[in-house]
Amino acid sequence: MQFEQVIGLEVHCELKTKSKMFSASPVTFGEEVNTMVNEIDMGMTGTMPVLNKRAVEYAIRVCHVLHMDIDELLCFDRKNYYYADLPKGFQITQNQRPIGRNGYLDIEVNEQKKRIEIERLHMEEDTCKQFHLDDFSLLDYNRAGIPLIEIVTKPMIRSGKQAALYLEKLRQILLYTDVSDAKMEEGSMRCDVNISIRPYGSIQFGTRTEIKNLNSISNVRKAIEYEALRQEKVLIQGGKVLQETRRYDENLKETIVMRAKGDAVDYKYYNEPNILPIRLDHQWVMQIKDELPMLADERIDKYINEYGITSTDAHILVTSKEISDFYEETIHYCQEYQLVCHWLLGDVQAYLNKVNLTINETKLTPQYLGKLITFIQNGTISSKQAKKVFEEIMDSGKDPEIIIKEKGLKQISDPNTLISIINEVLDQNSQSVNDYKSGKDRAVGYLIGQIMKKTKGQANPKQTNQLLMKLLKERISDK
Amino acid sequence: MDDTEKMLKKLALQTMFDISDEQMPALVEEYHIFMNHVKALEAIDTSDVEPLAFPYEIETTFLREDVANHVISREDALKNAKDVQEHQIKVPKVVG
Amino acid sequence: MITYSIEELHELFKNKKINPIDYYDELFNEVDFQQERLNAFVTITKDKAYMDLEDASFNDLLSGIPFVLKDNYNTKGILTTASSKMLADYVPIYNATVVDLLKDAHTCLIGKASMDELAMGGTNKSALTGPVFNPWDLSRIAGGSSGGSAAVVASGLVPFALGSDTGDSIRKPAGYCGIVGFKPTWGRISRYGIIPYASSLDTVGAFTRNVRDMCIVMEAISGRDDRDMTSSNREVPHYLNDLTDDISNYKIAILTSVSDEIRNKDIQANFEYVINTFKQLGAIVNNVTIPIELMRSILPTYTIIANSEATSNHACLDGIKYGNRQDGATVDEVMINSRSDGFGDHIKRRFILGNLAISSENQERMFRKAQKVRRLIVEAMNKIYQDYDIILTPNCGSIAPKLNEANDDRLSDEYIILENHLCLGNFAGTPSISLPSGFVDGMPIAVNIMGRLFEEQTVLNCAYALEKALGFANQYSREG
Repeated sequence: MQFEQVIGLEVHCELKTKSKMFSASPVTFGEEVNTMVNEIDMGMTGTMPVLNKRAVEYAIRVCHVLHMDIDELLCFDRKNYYYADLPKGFQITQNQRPIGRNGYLDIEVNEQKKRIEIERLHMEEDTCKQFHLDDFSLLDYNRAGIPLIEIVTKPMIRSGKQAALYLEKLRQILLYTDVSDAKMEEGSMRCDVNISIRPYGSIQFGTRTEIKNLNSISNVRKAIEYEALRQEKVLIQGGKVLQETRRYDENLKETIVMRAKGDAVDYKYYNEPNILPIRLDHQWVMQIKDELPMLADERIDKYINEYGITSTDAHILVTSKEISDFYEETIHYCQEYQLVCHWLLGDVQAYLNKVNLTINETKLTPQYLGKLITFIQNGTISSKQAKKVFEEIMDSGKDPEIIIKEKGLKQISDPNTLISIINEVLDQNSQSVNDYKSGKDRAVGYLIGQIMKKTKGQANPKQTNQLLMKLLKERISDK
Repeated sequence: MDDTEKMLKKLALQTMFDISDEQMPALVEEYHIFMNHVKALEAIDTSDVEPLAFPYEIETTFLREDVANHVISREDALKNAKDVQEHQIKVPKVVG
Repeated sequence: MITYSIEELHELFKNKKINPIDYYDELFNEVDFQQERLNAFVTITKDKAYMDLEDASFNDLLSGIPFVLKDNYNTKGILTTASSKMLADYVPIYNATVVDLLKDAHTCLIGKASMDELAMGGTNKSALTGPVFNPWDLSRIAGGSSGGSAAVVASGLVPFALGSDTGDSIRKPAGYCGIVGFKPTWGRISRYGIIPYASSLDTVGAFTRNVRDMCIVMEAISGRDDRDMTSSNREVPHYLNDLTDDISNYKIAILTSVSDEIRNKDIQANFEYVINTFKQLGAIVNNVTIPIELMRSILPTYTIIANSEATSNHACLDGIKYGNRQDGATVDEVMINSRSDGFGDHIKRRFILGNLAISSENQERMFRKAQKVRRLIVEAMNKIYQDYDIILTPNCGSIAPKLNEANDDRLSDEYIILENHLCLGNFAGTPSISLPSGFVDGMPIAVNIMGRLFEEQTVLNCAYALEKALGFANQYSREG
């Protein structure tokens, strides 16, 4: 029997606001434990929540990109349960009325468009962080209260590969709308999977399991592939899939039972009595749509159609938002669209790979790169010299203009100077001129080498080449 | 233990209380009173009535500007915690 | 030298008729005396009071005035127990907004007052520090849940104290103790930093010995607070300046659904006397009713909503971050052991039953049903407010009960309208004041005046006119 996979994804994403969802303490990552908190985050009795405007704005951005219906009356609920990481004994979330409903995201599967419908997007707050040691656990409240959005798809995904494509696309949106770092390995983007299988053609849903604790997109894919196979084996052997929560064990590459359905917690959702319904300004909601940052797909179009970049290069440029942003800034300084692209994807990327840094962690600025490329373009320095200047920028962080001056790297581009140097070389190497005359092209290379030697490599190669050919031809015809 | 007692024992645990055998009769008694309250309300016709979650119908437009201007010291944060280690609250190992 | 009203004390301080230090020295002698007698304090903040006094200029009405807070107001650096073992050693790291406001007004905190555990009661017998005694008769309760606050004002010790009111927790004890108790509109005063009971019903309020003082206190603590999203942006009126005893043409509704329930002849006579007084003051007085089935549903509606919200509001009390902590092998065990040890048995039962009512299986039938009935009750009240400025009722059906007769550690199965009607004001969030109206068997009794949303001034004017006509302002019982 052939089985079809029925998969729904729940993605949690931390928003990179300055302050928390319901309190004015800072949103940070990796700071000293319990230094980025206040009485609200700690669940001190008597405190009350006040909603962060920026967090709402970010949620709305994502809603717009996902083509969702936006509920302009914000309502919040309490999700009541007791857990070590839950300071108040409840989490404030949106159960009854999520801010976004009925959206979609198109992905490309085997060059065919597939529309993944999105059921809901809602806002909530993060829990505190637990560090599990051998005999006990330690609690750090810095993460408590960080704004989260949860994005839930309908059960429309049919394979681990589709899930990965969806997550990559969604991650790109979260990055390009500038709402989150969306790093799965750091937990700023998390994914839970609901998966069941059914015989092809069946419209009934099978019993589903939920898989939690997935810390990379590739693990989501692997977990789904493992779990689908596991469920298939169970069914083929005449067994029943049990409704349970499982986790993916990276080492075993298996999903493992965390808890059975019988242990499911009743979250006793009810309206949060300390947050009045909040009426959003319709103009503001629309303005957020108008001011949406340009997304990856739009950037690709622009790069190809306006800047004349190849489709392949355009796609590579946007795989990293940092690089794409850097590109956009650099072309403010230098409109050599192709050249800037080639530098970023070539020398710059090679350097980043070598030192294992991101571009914003280096000393390179868009202005320096723009200048460097301009100097190449106007013949001030050669491409070869440019590589030296680039290395120097990365080492010292100096302006390329200063580096060129200090190193005396300036190219000799003045035709009269070049002509007299070339004539000198020709005079000294009459044998080579004769060789050229008798059709030995090799002679040209030798002569260029001699010119470069004389000018310590500063002669403009392109001009030198042109002038040399011209002067050689003159000498031949003279004789 | 009858079904009501079992249900209440479980509900108590969900509320993070261990109800002893001595405490159970009073809880059962009060549960029945509570259920009488529920029944009393069932007599009121509330079809087409929306729940009233606040004392009066009210909406706000207020949202807090995203400014991180309220942090307390770590000392204050942990001052009332009974078990602290390495500036964190210590609890028995959390499993799962 | 004590027992002055805010205005009297202000005049004396400002005109240097009394030396503030001498006054506070005597006051703290009196504190010891009254604490011995009433058991009203959880904490006496003598050092803090003298420190606060150093900042007082005595130029403004509240500057240098002593006051008491119910022990559910978070006070930074000062023990705040809510009279629960769960918080027996909890020292808050922040101030409630109103605590900051009163600090800015340079009042002097002299102590934190006893209350029913977590404000969940009406007798003050469930306090960790034991019962609070009624200043007029030590064999009787002061009432609850703000019993300590009521007792200290009624003994003459301080001119005002803050309480909190979820069902009638200010107004009932005010009536039992012969003083003024006011719960303004829900949203008028910030709730930030007050240990909650049921958020959709909880209201900050105060006790004073006369209506003018109440105006002063309300003006100082009312207003928008960006830390409490439910607080109102409406401007705070100048209650004292605008106060008038001219209430001619005020329309007053006698809610006979309540007053018809009076069984005590003296209370009945007193209530009729109050009605006649209002008529003589020029008010238009008429009888109104609310359907009996709604009146009888007040208690069940309250029980279900209050306990449902309470169980969630107090889920933060788990022994982990603060408060009572007992050992356990797992986190769940720590929470269970801490909570089982930290709360009184009756509180545990209510939390459990509250959790029953919000469980997904029961929520529609219980919690949401109660919220629906709440709407019907509020709509019935609003219908009255279409034609009337004020709803007038007796405060309750009896004088303060004897300590051994007052029990509320079990939920009541008796839907006694006359004992529960004050929470109408909490259901609708409307301003409601209890005012002394006479004596029965040597004990004070009271009436309740309830107005429209945010019409505190109308309620205060009405109370002021009645207070002047009846002459029970500034009464206290220092020695019983």
